[in-house]
Amino acid sequence: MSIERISRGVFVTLVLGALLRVVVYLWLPTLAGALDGRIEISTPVSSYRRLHEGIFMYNNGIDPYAGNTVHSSPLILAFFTVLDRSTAGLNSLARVNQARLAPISVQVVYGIVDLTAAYYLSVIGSLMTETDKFQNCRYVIPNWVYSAVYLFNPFSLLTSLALSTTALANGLVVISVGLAVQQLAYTSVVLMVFAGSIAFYPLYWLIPLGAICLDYQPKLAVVKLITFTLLTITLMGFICQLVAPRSSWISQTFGVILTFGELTPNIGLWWYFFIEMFDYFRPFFLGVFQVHLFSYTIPTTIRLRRFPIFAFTVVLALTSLFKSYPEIGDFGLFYSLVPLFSFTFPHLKYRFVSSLTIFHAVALGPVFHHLWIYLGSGNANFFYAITLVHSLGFTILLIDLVWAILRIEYDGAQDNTVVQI
Amino acid sequence: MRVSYLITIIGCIVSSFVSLSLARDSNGEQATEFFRKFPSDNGAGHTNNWAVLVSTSRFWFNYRHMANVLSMYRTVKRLGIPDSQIILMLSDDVACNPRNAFPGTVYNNADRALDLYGENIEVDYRGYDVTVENFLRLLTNRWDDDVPRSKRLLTDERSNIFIYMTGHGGDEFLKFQDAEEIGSFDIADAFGQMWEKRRYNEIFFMIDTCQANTMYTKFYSPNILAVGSSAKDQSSYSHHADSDVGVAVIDRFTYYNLEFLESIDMNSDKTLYDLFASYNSDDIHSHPGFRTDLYPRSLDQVKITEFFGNVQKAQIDQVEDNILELVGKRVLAIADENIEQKDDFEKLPVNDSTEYKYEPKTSINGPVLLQEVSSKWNVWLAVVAVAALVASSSKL
Repeated sequence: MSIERISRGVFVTLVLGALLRVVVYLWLPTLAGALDGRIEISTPVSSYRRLHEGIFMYNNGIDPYAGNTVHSSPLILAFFTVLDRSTAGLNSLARVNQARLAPISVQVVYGIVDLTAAYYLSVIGSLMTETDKFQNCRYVIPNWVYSAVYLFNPFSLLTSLALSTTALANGLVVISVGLAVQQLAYTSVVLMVFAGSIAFYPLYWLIPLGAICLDYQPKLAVVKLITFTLLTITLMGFICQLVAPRSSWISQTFGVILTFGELTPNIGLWWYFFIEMFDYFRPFFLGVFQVHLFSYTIPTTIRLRRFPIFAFTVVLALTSLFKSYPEIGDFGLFYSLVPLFSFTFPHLKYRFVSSLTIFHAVALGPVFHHLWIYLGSGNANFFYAITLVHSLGFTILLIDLVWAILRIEYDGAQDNTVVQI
Repeated sequence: MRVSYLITIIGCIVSSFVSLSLARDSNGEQATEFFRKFPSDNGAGHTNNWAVLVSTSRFWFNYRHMANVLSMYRTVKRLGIPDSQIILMLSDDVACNPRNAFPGTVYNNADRALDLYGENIEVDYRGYDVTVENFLRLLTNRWDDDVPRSKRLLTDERSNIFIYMTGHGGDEFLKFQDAEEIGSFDIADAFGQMWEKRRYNEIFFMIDTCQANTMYTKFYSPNILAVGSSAKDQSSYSHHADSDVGVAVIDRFTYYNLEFLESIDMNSDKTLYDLFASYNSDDIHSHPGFRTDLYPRSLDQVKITEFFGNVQKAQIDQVEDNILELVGKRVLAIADENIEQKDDFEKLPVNDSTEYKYEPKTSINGPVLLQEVSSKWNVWLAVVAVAALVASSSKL
């Protein structure tokens, strides 16, 4: 992978991002633990606290997947175990405050992933060719803005500070797309599969990723790519099995995501249904919800194949909206990708409505959760209603963007105030 | 015949005899072994304790009988017998009696320091339910099906029962509720039935009435230890009266028993011999007697807690949790060097600081072991494999 010469703006942004994370780590040592407790930021499948427990159990020879605590994939478990063993000395040196959730090596890993992803966002921004055919659509935003949005937007920042594994997965997804744009299709596939092993749904995003690869590398052999993808998935599965033999890791990792095993409230749409559902109907609704989610992938990719990165963004957004354990990190990834399509902003019709609805929902969501759980004066309906409002605002934004892209695709978004009589 | 054949045959016969003699009742052996290995105490052989506390008097002027029984109830509860294993029979007409100047209370001492009635007593038979028939049915467990379990004496052959009776009695009789009486033969026969039905391991029968010792003369069942407050033609006297309550509040025999028992706690090793030795007939104003011929063990090997306390698997430690007392003891120890201070702090388990050490251990006994997993090469191989995959894919 070629690392181009980083422009000054991007470099400064990366440095500031790193600085922010370092300062927060030193100044607020207990922040990770506190954030990890919030359901908007960490879910049972992505919580670092559970991963930490899994590492401890693994080191002591106990099967981490025997109980219902650890839902992280064996690859991540293996990676962090290796990290822990090899940096034990560094960790004990840097242990300034016992109250930290994670040792410094883990923080460094998250920081590196964040910074690399931010860098690759700027790469994507600079290499995007989607609107070269339309002369009205110029990229007016400098490259460092993409990095800044990824590093500093509160959704992805909080996810990264809470050390949720979604931060790793999202970072890997961005790097993967960046590599695809840089014409390194196979590596991007590997990284996307790796991200898919951390959280399951990036595996769905292999389809729009394929569209991106084909768009940026027209001479790519499709069959070879597909077989390589399948091979990679199988290989990752074997490696997972190598790490955790004789244990039920599939049912505890992918099984929980697919069958909605852990029934805790989150900012998604599933938990409210499944809490009140009779067991008889559970398989049916699980099937419906999962198929519904997958059903957006292929048609969107096909329809928006001329804008493959945009197709990827739309698929990502729809997946984040309808997945079983969403968190704000997923939405943060979408918001980080939106500035790439700044050329659509003049054509958005509902900017005001969507942004205000989203602000409203984001502000009230934690309030209603607090009201429900801690004060006992609200109830689950408050919280769920506000997540529905958030989904509404998010959907309005998404639809608006799609409309703008379709408009641009139709006629290059020319100024058509001339009325044809 | 050859000598070797002879020896073989003799050896077979002898070995068969030996093996037959060795083949004893294995179940009984196992049970004995169990009780030997886990003795409740001194190999006494009991696994649970019950108490039957009966006050056979009613009306206000028999306040002291109520106080007697409630004092015994408090002692027995304090030493560990739970309410579910105590049968308390009272007339219960004293605490809320209109003549009670301290309503809702029963005191056994003029200083009124201890309210025996309290908030937490469970009376199983109250008022006119305290009858001879109920008492005998209780002992022999002959009830209709609708009698609740709390009113039954649910003992088994491993139960030690402490039976305490107080009231007005005479030569081989005891007055129940001013209307009827129970005789010594009745109680003896009830105990006989209990023995036949294996309803007790050992019984400790204590009775505080006039001419109490006559009540136990007719017992014939084994494993019964009896003590009475006064001999034939002797009365038992009350100890003192409270001038504000207006009546006598405790009987002498019970008072001196309590005086001894208040020094006992759950872990005490004091024996019944010590208890009986503490009786002073000059103080009691009567001659207490006891009957030990039916009792197999000698009194100095029977701990008081075997009847008054409960079998416990838990060791009660001596840790003083009242901080003021602890500090006080320390202060006193400093002030007076002669006081031998039993240092309770040493008894506390040492609590190492639990700093979380993130060091991989070799193995611990966990629920599901992945022993081969915690070896080093697995995870390293996985990480290397992924890295190799990423690197090789860039060459494609």
